[in-house]
Amino acid sequence: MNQTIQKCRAVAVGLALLMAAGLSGSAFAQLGKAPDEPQTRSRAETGATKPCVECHEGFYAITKTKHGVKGDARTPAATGKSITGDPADAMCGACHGDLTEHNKKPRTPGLVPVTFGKKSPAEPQNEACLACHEQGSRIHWKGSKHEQTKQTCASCHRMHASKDPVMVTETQASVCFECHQDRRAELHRMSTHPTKTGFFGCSSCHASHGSTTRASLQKNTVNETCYQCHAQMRGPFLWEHRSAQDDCTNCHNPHGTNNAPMLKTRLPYLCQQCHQDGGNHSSTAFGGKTLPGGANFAANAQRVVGNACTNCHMKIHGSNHPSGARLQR
Amino acid sequence: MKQKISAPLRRRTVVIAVGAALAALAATPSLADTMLTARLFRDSDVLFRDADMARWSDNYIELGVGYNSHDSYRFGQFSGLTDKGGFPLAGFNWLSRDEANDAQYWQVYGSTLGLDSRKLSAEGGIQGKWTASINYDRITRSQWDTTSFIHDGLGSNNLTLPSTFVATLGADDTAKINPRLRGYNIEQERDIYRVGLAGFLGKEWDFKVNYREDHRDGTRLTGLPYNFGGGRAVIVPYEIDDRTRQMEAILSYTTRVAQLQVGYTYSKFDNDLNSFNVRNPFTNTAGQTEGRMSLAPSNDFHQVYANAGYNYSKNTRLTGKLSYSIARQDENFLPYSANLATGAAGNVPPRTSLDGKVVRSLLEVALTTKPMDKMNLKVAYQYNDSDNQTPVANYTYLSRDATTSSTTTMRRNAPLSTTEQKFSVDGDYEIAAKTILRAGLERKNLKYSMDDKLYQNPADRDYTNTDKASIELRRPVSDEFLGSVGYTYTQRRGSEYDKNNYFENTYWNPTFRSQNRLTAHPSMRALLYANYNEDRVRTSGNWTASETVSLQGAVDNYRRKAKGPNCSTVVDPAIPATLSATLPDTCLGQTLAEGVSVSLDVQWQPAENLTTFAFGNYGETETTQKGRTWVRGAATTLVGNTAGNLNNGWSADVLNRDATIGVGLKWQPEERWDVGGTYVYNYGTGLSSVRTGTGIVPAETSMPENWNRLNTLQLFAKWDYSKQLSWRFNYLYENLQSRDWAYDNLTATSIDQVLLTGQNSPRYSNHVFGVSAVVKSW
Repeated sequence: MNQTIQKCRAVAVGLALLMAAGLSGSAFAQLGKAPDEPQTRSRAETGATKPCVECHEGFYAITKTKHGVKGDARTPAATGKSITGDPADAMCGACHGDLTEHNKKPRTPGLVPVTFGKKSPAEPQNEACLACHEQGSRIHWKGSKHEQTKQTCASCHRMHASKDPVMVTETQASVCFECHQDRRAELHRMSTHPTKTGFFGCSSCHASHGSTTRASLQKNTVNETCYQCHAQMRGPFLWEHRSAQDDCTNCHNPHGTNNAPMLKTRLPYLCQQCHQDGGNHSSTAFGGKTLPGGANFAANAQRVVGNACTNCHMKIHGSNHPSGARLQR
Repeated sequence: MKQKISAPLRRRTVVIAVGAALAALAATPSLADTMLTARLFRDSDVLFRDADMARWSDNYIELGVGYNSHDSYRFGQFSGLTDKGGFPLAGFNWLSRDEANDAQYWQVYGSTLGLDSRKLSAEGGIQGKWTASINYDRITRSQWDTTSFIHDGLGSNNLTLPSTFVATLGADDTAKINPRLRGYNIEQERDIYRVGLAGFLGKEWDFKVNYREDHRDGTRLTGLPYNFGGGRAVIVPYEIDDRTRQMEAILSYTTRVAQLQVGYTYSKFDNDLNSFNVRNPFTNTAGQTEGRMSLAPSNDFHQVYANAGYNYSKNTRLTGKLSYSIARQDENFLPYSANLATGAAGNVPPRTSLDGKVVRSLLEVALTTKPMDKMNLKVAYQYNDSDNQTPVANYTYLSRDATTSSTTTMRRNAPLSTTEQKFSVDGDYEIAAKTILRAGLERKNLKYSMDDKLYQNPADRDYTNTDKASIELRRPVSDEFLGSVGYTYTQRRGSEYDKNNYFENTYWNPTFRSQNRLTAHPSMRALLYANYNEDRVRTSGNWTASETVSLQGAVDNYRRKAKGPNCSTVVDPAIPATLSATLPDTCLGQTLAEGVSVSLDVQWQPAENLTTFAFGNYGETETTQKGRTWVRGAATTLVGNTAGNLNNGWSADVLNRDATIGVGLKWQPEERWDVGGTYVYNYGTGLSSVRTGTGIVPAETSMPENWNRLNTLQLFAKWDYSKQLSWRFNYLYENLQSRDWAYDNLTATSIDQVLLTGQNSPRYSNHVFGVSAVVKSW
């Protein structure tokens, strides 16, 4: 009963918050509209000395990106204001702020309102991006692990590149490895996901912009995330294996291990961390003498070599066989 | 006796040394604007997807040929490059975008089209209005090419033998089993089809609909035990033929102030096969010849959810998520035994199917705010409930397709429900210029509930509380160096263990229970629920030594100790009278887990046209676990666990270590040439050190060390013959050597109880050459 009341209360609070967010959103919707001003002003009007391209030619690849599409009314290219008379410069100010003073005195530091890079403070950078991108997967950005550690959008994204490496599955991991070096090393272990061959990116599991799950996972739980590709493990099973139903990472390290299939510890020792039952063999000490030539080989090798415990208990993620209580069927 | 593997002192010394080194670096003079390293030298299959991002941005068509020097499943595990000989290299990318006018665009992309693993995609639309996409990926998994089997019908879900076949492992190896052994490779293919449509419904609303379908085909290895013919098992390939369909529809509302996302996810897993039959090779007695395994049941999953964010002010944001899902499974049950006629007495389960259902509800609300200029604060609450509504019934336990059963082994399913509540507070404060102190507190309460507490295991608990406290300091010691050090303490405690239940969860029989016959050791503290204290320290530093040299390092160290007495010194009380005295503390099971990871990246650009790169990582994890060899007595006796038999204790330390180093360079000797290469070396070991008490005879010894050594050399060159034509030259050498006591020195018939596969631990040495022409930028 208490649990039901608790659930109802939680749902009611959630709905109230969502309604508040929705209703208030309509009221403030006008805030996001840009004022109707001419998009290009002449150098004579602004005092600018030269087009941006003269000093920043390398950054003009941005004109070939989604941000550079004028036909899309949401982009910097469509909403920005050129201060140099060159329409191509309109987009610079949309993200970097009013560049008039910088254009007049290009060698004077500190005249670009928003700069992107690791030396610049994180909040103005992220605010510039979130002004257009706070929806979708970025809803939970604020308060996310990456936000808390002062990462910026530019820490991972290359806005001026015609293709952003972190948005391509084949190259995504290399961007993440810049900070998560230990994960790169794990990729070389004996048992891994197909990340090295470019079929599996970090974002297959992780929501780098934040989520409600630990480790910023894409789904509500670890298991829900894994079931995206491994739905055969989802059940519900008649005979559950509790640690598997609880959390796949109780036994597996999805970043890679030397114990196939990505097990944290070798069998039979992994199983014996929870199972040492009487009347059978799981409380037995298994060691070197269970291998060929050893004194315990004849009696216990079947519990150690090959698939070890899963030589017989192979339905380790759960069994739906009516006589499968011991996960053998 | 015990090999010297536990080295906490050594580990701590390494941690302190590296931490001190990072701190020392802090004393010397900002961060590189970019750590180009990984981006330039992708730590992956450069041969086919090199680091040149132009491959994804330029329009190009690539055609060429490659040659692989040796057959090896392991080498081509995910790429499909398993066979010796030539293979085509083919790929293309064509992007057309109208930047100036109506924002129309389309793109087609294909990669590794000459291999079994390949990608194809197409996307198009009008940016800002609508977009549609279609993708196809094929991923192969070539697992084993050294496996052998005696059955016919390999690759199907019905493995057979001649009707007169019978063999006894050991006795009939030479005469009956070995002559029938034949090689069969274990591999799977996954074909993934995706289609997507997204569009805008006015300025503030947009929608997305994505559909994905995965087809899996192939075989995997499984064990399968028999009740007849001596209680033996076989390892054989079972057939995989299933598909998973997933659909997600999302409607979003976005303004600067509020964002709302409402979605529906549907996932359906369909297995074309519900069982797998394997003829028992150990007997041909009528009624004892079949073994049957259930395969993963078809199931479905529905979820509705809402994500919302609301900017109350410039500095305060409220976010939330609400989710409700149902996972169902109702596959028809198999009969109890394959050796009894379907529908025969004693072979009919109490239900025709499970009607399993788990309902999950999630609510999270989080408030992030900036109460003062230099301070950020986040307060969050999460409620996550999993209500397992699967019906409970008593099922006859016919062990491994036996034909008779006993009521004492009747089993009852025990679906578990959980409710988790989590509350956390995180904040940071800029205590000096760019120096940030961050701290956080979290409490997680997890409640477990079952249909009937009678069926709790003694290792089960009613609830656990996990508390976490963390603190971190990030400080730019100079313009060139940013360092951070953080500490997290976690502890888990929980309710008392139920001292009156000594049974595996599913034992049903009341007589059996009244005898207090133990099936589970009362001192076991399963990893899932056990009390523990954990300390974790993480240090990291980024140093730009000069305009051309930058370094980045990190050390992560943790130690988790299960709270409780040591089994070797504590006498377990008699059963069950004084049992409760030691129950909250870990006795058997994992008692200690430790790990360390040390990483260092260096990038050096000695000249404008030359970039070099090196990285290294050392990782170590070690777990210690305690055991006690014991057998269940007829009644209340815990044989082997009495005060006089504590010498039956044992322990195992499992240590996994690996070291990885890599170097690379990219050089542009002249405008038309790009050349480069990477070399990566990985060495991993696994050692299980076992010690046994004097009561275990013969005494056990440690396992031999397992190890694996991988050398990878990749070289590439690109020559721009003209603006429209480039030539690529690639070379890959990879050598893997490994040893694993689970497979090595074991033939199919090495042990009497299981018919093995004879597979070897993986090893290969492959050279691959590739040359291709790239037509681009039309």
